[in-house]
This record gives sequence, C-alpha cells and structure tokens, in this order.
Amino acid sequence: MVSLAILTLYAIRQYALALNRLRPGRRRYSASQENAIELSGYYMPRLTVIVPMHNEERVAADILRALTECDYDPDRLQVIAANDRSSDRTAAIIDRFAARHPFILPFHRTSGKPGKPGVLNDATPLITGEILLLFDADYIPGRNLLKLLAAPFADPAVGAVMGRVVPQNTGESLLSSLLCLERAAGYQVVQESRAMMGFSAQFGGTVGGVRMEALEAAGGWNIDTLTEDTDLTCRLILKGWKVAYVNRAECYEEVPASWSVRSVQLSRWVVGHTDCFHRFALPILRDRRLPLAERIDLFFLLSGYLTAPLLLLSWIASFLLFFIEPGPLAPGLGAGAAFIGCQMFGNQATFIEMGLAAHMDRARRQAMLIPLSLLSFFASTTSICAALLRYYRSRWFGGPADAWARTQRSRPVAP
Amino acid sequence: MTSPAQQPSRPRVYPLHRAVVRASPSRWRLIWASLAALGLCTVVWIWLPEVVAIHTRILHASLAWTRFPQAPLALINIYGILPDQPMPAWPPAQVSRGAYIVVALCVAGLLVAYRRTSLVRPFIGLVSALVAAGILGQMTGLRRIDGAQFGQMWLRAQVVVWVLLPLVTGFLFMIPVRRAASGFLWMLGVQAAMVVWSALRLAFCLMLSHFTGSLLLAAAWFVFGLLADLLLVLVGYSLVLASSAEKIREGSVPDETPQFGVPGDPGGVAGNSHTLRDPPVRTGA
Repeated sequence: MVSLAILTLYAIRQYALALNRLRPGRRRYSASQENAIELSGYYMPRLTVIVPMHNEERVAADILRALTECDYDPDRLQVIAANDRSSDRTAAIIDRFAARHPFILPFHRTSGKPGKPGVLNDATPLITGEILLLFDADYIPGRNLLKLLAAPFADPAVGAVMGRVVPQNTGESLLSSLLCLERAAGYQVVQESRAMMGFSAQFGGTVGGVRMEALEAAGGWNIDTLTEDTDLTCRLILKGWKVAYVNRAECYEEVPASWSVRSVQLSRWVVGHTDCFHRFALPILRDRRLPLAERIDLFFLLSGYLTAPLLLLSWIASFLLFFIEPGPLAPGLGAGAAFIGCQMFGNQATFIEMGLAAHMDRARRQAMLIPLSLLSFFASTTSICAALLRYYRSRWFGGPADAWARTQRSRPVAP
Repeated sequence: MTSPAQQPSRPRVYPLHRAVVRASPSRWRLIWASLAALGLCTVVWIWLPEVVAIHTRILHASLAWTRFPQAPLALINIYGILPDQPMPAWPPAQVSRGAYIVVALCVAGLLVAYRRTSLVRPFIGLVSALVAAGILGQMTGLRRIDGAQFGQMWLRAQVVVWVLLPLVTGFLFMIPVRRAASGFLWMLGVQAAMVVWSALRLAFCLMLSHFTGSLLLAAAWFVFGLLADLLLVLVGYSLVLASSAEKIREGSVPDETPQFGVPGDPGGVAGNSHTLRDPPVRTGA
C-alpha cells in the first residue's frame, strides 16, 4: 500500500507536467524560449566548447566538423577537443582538425581519473570563455545551436542552460526508436513543462552550458560522481542560480541501438542520480528560497529511479494476491488487483507524455510505437533494480562500486 | 484570385517548428472531454449488469465456437451488486504428465528466446518465474485454482477497469483529435473492444486451466490480464495520435495548435536548418 501511495504521488506529478504542457500561455520565467530565440545572435558572449572523447574515432570527425560549420563568431569561440587516453585514432583526428582551425585547441590527457568529470576538471584551466558549453562526442550540433544556447545567459540569473536532445539514429533498431520516443517525452514535454512552470531545468551535461562564474561559485566539477551533470544542477540550484531550458536548441545524438549498451548507460545514470538524491534531496527540500512546488518537483526528479523497486514490489504484491486463498477478503482482491495493475505498469502518465510528445512533434511513426514501449519499460525497470541493488550493496556493505563507463557507439568508422 | 477564406493559413505554408508549437486544447474541448468521460463512466455504471451479461455471452459463445468440452456451470458472485454470472467450473485438474511436458517445453522455448532477444529478456524472465510459481503451487497443492475461481477474480478486476476506463480515454482520445465527435467514437470503440477482448482472453485462460490446471494460470493472469488491457488502450491511443499526425501532415485538417510564431522567422525559426518535416541529418561516413 505504501509503495502504491508513493507511485500514485509520482504519477500525479507526471500528469501535472503533461497537463501543464497542454496549457495555453507563455512561460513564467524571463529566460523563456521566446526570449532565447529572439536574442539568438544578438547576445554573443565569449564561448568555450569542450568535447570530451575517449576512443571516439567513429564520431570525433562528425562533431568537430559540425562545430567548425557553426555560425558563431570564430574570434569569440574556443573549442577544446579533449582526448582522454584514447588508444584509437581519436588523437590523430583531433590534431588534424586543430591544424586547420585555430580556434580548436587539442587537449590530450594521459593520466588522471578516467571519465568525463575528470576530463572536465583537468580541462578547466584552459578555458578562456565566459560561458562553457558541453557536447558529448556523438552529438552533431546544428549551425546556429551555439547562438541559441548562449542567448539565455543574457539573463544574469541564469547559471546553466540545457537544449533538447534528439536521436539521429532512430530506426537503427527497435530500441533506438523506442529511446527516441522516450527522449521526446523527456524534453518536449517534461523539461519544457518544468520550464513553463518556472522551475529550473535539469542540466544534462551535453547540449548545454554553464556560466564559468556559476561553476566556480558551485565549487567546480565533482570528479567522484558518475553523473556530474545532475550533481552540478543541484549545486547550482542550491547556490541560487537558475537553469534555463531552450526547447528550440535541438542537437542530434546517437542513442544506444542494443540493450547491452543501453543497460550500461542506464546503470551509470541510476547510480549517479541516486547518489545525488542522497546528497541533495534534503538540502533542496529545506531551501526556502525555492518555491515549494519546485522543491517537491526536484525531490521527485532526484528520486525518480527509486520508483522501479516500488513497481517490482507492486508486481510481487499482485502475484501474492493471485495466490492468496479467497476468504472474507475475496471481493477486495479483484479490485485490489485492478488498482495495483493501474499503477504497476509504469504509471500511465509516462505513456501519455510519450503520446503528447509524438503529437507535438507530428511524429506518426513514433506514435505507432507507443504500445511497444512496454517492452523497454520492463527492461528498464529490471535494469534499474539491478543497478540500485549494486549501489546499495556497495553503499551499505562496502565492496566495488559501479565505475564510469563510456557508452559504445554504433556509427560506422569514418575512413 | 483566391478569396482570403480560401487562402492557406500561415502554419500550413510555413509549418512552425515543433519546438514552438503549442498543443493547447480549447476550453470547449476540455469541457467536452470531461463531459464525455463522466458521461460514459455513468452509462457504464448504470448498464454494468448488461455489460457483464454481454461479456458472459461472448465468453460462452467463444468456448462453444472452439468446440470446447462442455463443463458444469457455477454461478459466481461479483461484488454482490451485480447478478451472479455462470462460469465453466472444471474441477482443479489432475495435471497429466503430458501437460507437464508441454509446460516444460514452453519454459525451454522461453529460455531460448531469453538468450536471443535482449529487449524482451526481463519480460520473459518474469513470465518464466510465474510459470515456475504455478508449477510449485500445483505440485505442493498450495493453491489450485479452478476455472470458476479464476473467472471470478478476472471479472472483479475487469469491472473496475470498465467503469474507470472512460476517465482515462476521455482525455487520451478527445484531446489530440480535430473533431470531438471522432474522439468520442474512439472512446466508445475502445470501451466496446475492451469487453470483447476481455471475454476472448478469459476464454483462452479457461481453456489453459482445463488442460494444465493451475500450472500456467499465474503467468496467464499476468500476461493476459491487466497488462493486455493496458496494451489495448495504448494501441488505441497510438492509432488516434498517428491518424491525427498524418492528417495534419497531409494538410487535410488545419492545424490549429500553434499559438505563436517568431516574427520574421518563418518555419525554420531562427537558424537551425532542420524543420519539422526534415529527417535528422546523419553526417557519419
């Protein structure tokens, strides 16, 4: 019953976000999307773009080429191509681009803690821009994306900005198509709805940026976490900075095409995110500078992955109901099973968000895939439970914790 | 010369980028959706005895159509407020060795699928665990469910779903579509399909119970129970969305959802060259 109650609260939050996205009217917060689009190209601070890469020969050339084609003033742009101990052709690709484009600075890292947070930390002294933008190596920014991402920083209260992630390999496999649907729901509906409510967005560590002043105020990058983005989001919010979201700042990425790759990615997110929950949930709930609704929303955001074991408990409860010998409880058993069933298949609000996103994106094929998202729902729930089990075993009983793991790319190797 | 009324609207000429469209339903649409949801809920509640009777008729007709062995009928009680329903009541089966072999082959098939398909692996794992629980229950005599007991549990769960379903479908189906009437027709269609779909699934589960006792009933309850209900709703929802998206793309239905645009920035909206209709650009080698 407790798990059902918590799941219901979580479902109410998801419904509220979905319904709010349907609500007419503009955003409350000044760093709105309309402002970002109108300011785009008029507010052009000095930018540094960091692209961390570890054995990224499949994708390195694509992102570097896309960055050289961006229409941002090259005199106000610095690109740090950070090679983190690569053993493939990544370093050569970086050097080739750096030789042709003076604003690309190669940074070859040969030691230090592996992983993106460590790379960012070591590259920080090289940064010359006021604003730091980040892209993972598999992303392909559009020509004006840098202008769109820089625009919200015209508001001095904005400490970080986040753009929309759109998969470019939709159709490569069933999984990548389903992930495209999930991404659309997460950005087109959830992130945008939260921004419409005036809440800070979740900085995702890619297709986004942070003001250097804010980064320093928040204490820099945390190299001991698996999700340095969520960690930084929480610290920025606690320091009083806003995180803006620009739905129009779309950037194409490569989503995992196989479940083994997706499972590794998901496990990293689960562990890092849940760790942030333990460190920041209470301080955020106690921070009275934030509106109560935003505090509650952030609490649910950070505890999101913990709903998976609750779902698992609900399944077990449902099976127990099936095996219980009917007695005086009999009339209640069917109703109980029905109510549990309403919640136990991943609270339907998530499916509504997917549908709403497909509707707004006018994506017919994606809409047709909604029933199949049940498959990825089951797969995700079990993967999340396994990752949480490892995390809490390590946290409570010691033992090896999950290490940072790079997401494998499926793009063909460039010649 | 075309009159102003015949001229295409701005969103049709320059489709707004997906990032700046709004999907705000009008107040009237929300009112209609609420009225439809509450109205259909009330109608189902009032006519629930008839709905349950229709369900029972379809169940018996489908069992008869498959020339399934006749079974003594037992009257089962559903919450007391509804008339008792006749349900085939085979006694808990003495499961033959052949049934165990069939179930073992099913589990082996599941395990092969488990090794080959990663995305459905967790689902198969859950089903296998339930089959194992069913075998344990049957062998230990912990709980042997007969057809009538299963039918009773099934109907008690389904009745709740049927009554509450319009509250969900009212908003799912009436908001995305252009005309409220077509959304309401979708609601009615899914509501009717839900009853027929439930009767067919129950008939299948009862046949399973006749041949394999309780061995597969737990798994059947999980796979063909509320999960299958959700699947039907999602299929209906996805068809509604796909159809509305298709019509808007083809231009047969004017898209009224965009609420604002950016002055001087038709379609492409300030920069990034990908518009709504462009496929994602893939630049790899």
